[in-house]
Amino acid sequence: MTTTDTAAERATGQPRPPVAPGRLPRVTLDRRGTSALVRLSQGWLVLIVALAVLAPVLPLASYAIPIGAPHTAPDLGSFSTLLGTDGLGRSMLSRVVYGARVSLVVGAAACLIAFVVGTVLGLLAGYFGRWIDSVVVLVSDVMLAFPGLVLLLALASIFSPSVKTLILGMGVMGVPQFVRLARAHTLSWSAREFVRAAKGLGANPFRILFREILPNVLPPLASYMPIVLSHIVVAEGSLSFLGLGIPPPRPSWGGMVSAAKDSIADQPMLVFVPALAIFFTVFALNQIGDHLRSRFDRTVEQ
Amino acid sequence: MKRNRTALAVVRKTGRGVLVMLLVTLAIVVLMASAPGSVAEVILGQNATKANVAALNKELGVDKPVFEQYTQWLSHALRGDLGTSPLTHQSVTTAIAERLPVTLELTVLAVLMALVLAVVFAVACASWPGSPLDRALTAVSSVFLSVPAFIAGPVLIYFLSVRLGWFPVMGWTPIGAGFGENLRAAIMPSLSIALVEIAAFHRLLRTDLIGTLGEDFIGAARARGMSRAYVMFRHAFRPSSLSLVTMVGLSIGRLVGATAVAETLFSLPGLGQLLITSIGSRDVVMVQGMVAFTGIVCVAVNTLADIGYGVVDPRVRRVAAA
Repeated sequence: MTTTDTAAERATGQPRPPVAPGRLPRVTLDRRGTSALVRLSQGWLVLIVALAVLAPVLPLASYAIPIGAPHTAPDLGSFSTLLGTDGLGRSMLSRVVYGARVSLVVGAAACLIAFVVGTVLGLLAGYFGRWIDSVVVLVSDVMLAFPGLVLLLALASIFSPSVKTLILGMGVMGVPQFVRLARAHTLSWSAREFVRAAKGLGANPFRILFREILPNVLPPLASYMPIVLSHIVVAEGSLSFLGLGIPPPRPSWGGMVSAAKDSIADQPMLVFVPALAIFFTVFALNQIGDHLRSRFDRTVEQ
Repeated sequence: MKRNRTALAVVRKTGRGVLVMLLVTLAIVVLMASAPGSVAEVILGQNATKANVAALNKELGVDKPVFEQYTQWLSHALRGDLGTSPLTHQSVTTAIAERLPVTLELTVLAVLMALVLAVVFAVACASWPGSPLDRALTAVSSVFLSVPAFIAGPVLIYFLSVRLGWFPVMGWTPIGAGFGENLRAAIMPSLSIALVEIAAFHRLLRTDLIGTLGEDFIGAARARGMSRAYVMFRHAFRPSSLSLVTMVGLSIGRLVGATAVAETLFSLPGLGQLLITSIGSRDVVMVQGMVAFTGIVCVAVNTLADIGYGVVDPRVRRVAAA
């Protein structure tokens, strides 16, 4: 074991191929490639987003109106009965697809808010330091101290749940994670030569922040978005499960699990269908997030 | 000299923790005061007269400016008084004390389960990195990572209670009524919140172990003829387990949130269930007291983990002192 071994060597146990003197080592851009699992995950997300976006134009029954007897088994006859019906005879597929709309709209909007606010605050804190840094770090510490779900429950107790309050609450919940990441990356980039060069040339701080540092900080931060999105989908599901998410009759995956849980002994499918939808979505987001981070975030050891 | 510096670091971290606690509670009081409509209107319902509302608002102290409300709340809280529920007329502190044991047991059991399974998984993976065993366990842990409590709970109920009949579907047996029965009631809810943590601990410990096993001192120990198992546990495990301390501290917050789901699903008389019912009945005083309590506990645990990390790891101690 020499002292020059890299993290990658340690992880795989394989020594790096020796490099001929006087030559640069060959660098393969994407050593691990894209695994079948990541491709499947991408496929699932594309499918679920497509279904959610196209829901109004698909030949799909309404999620609120019964289309037949309750608890009918899955039937290949029509699109709406592919997954059978629920306890009130409503199309399960329709409810899963419309549930995806809620989860995805709330998740994407909240994630975007968290990303933008967190990145800007992290950039400012990391670059200017001093009191701005102290205040931002203290505030994000305070927000991290709250368990995310408890914060959302506290919000639910004073504001009646709606799409707007959910997006706001979950956006706020995601901010500190991006603040920490953005601040750490900004700190390391601020010390680089090209930033000092720009300073020396008299560029104003905001030019340096947004033209020099931000482009370098964005890829690792953006690669973190699927992970935060998966947290938000889980939080939204938990809230709906507790009856504090989007109010009925609009379907949500968490609400569907909650409504069906008492009859699980007789009708397990009513729980398993939305449960699998959440599981696949969260799993896919985690896989894609890990994949992106191993590519774009240099601080992630492989 | 060195000891003084360590003590100084402990004092600084404790001070920081107290400051965060103050801000957390301030944020909660401000948040609750910003609720649309006064608390009394919510409590008394639509039939309340204006005079009744004003009287109750005065009684609750919510007619004063926010900062004054906070200092008043704080001075009571420091004496262990988190207020009295205007709906159930029960003291918030008593309600918390009554229900804390259930939540505490679930959380402790979940952390224990997660630690034991994660350590076994991580040691197995790190012993043969890249092997089929490593890949299989890593796959299992990515599945666990994607199973939140409200999915894991119903699935566990279906397979372990409905199909196999091993555990009761719901309900709680206090520890006083027999340890075995108590454990039977607690295992499924704890497991349902522990799955995500198993995965989180496993991933972290696996990476750290593999990193440590590549260090020179491990090669030296092996060269002196020590067995793989001895080197793994005596030489590699301790330095690798340190960031796990921080991770366990952070997991407490996630677990506390998840217990609300598990307690609702399994009908357990814990804090989470009380929080959900209080939210349902708009019992703002109860919600405020419980959220503040949770926030304070989480800050305290994380501050302790932070201090503990510095005390246990000589490298951090040196850096902190430098």
